Amino acid sequence: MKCMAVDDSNVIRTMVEKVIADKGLEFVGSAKNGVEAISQFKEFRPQLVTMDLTMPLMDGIETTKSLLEIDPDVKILVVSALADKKTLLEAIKIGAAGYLCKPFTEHALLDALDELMEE
Amino acid sequence: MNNEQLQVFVDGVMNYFETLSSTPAQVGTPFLIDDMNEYLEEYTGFIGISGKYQGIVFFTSPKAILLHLLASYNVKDVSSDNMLDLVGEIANTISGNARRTLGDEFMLSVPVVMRGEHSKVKVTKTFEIYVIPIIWRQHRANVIINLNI
Repeated sequence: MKCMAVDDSNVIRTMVEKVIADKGLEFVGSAKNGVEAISQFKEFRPQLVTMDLTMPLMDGIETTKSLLEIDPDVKILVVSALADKKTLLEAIKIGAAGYLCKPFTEHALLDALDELMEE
Repeated sequence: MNNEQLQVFVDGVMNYFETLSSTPAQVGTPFLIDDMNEYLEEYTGFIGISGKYQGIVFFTSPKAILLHLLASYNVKDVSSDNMLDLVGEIANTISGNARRTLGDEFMLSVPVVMRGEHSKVKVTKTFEIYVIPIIWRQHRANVIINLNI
């Protein structure tokens, strides 16, 4: 399965890349904002994307909508510090497949990825 | 700010360190200050707050703490760029987690980060400035809250 990480933090993108690679999945893209994410998504066509919400240029909600328009089957795991219920529900409403709240452990990320891949 | 509101940020700090490390942080009692410059460490990240609330939330840390945290993330590149990235991410995480209690009208900017350059930090003196002191692995960091709550 091809995967991509979208987050304005290089530290988080690096961590996600390592977890995905250790799991034996193919890491194909790393984007620091929504604009980069859309460009890389069109080029590499990942099937699973981790998505931050608070980012410059284009936030994660708008980016998630755009990626789902391009490929309605892509699984998007929102990975965000925004811990309020309204944001979580909005992310799910627009089509995100899961929501992982920051801070998170590698184990929590692995569990969330497993859950998405079992669907 | 009342004690309950300050506790939201204290809980956020404790949750951050408990999640990333087996060593919990010792979080001291928040206190009021007039001038924040003496509480700023080498690396500082801050989040502008807008919406129902206005102000700034800072996380400021020495290099030693950030080195340990980068190791917790399994990130081997300990460049200054990644230190700056991490202080911004921590400020964002503590602020974002506060929305669990303060709601979605506690609106966050993207992080702004800096190394040194303390003279460039300007806060709104009309809002109270609280310091939440953090001791972790014998090093001191601070969360500084300058909000009109």
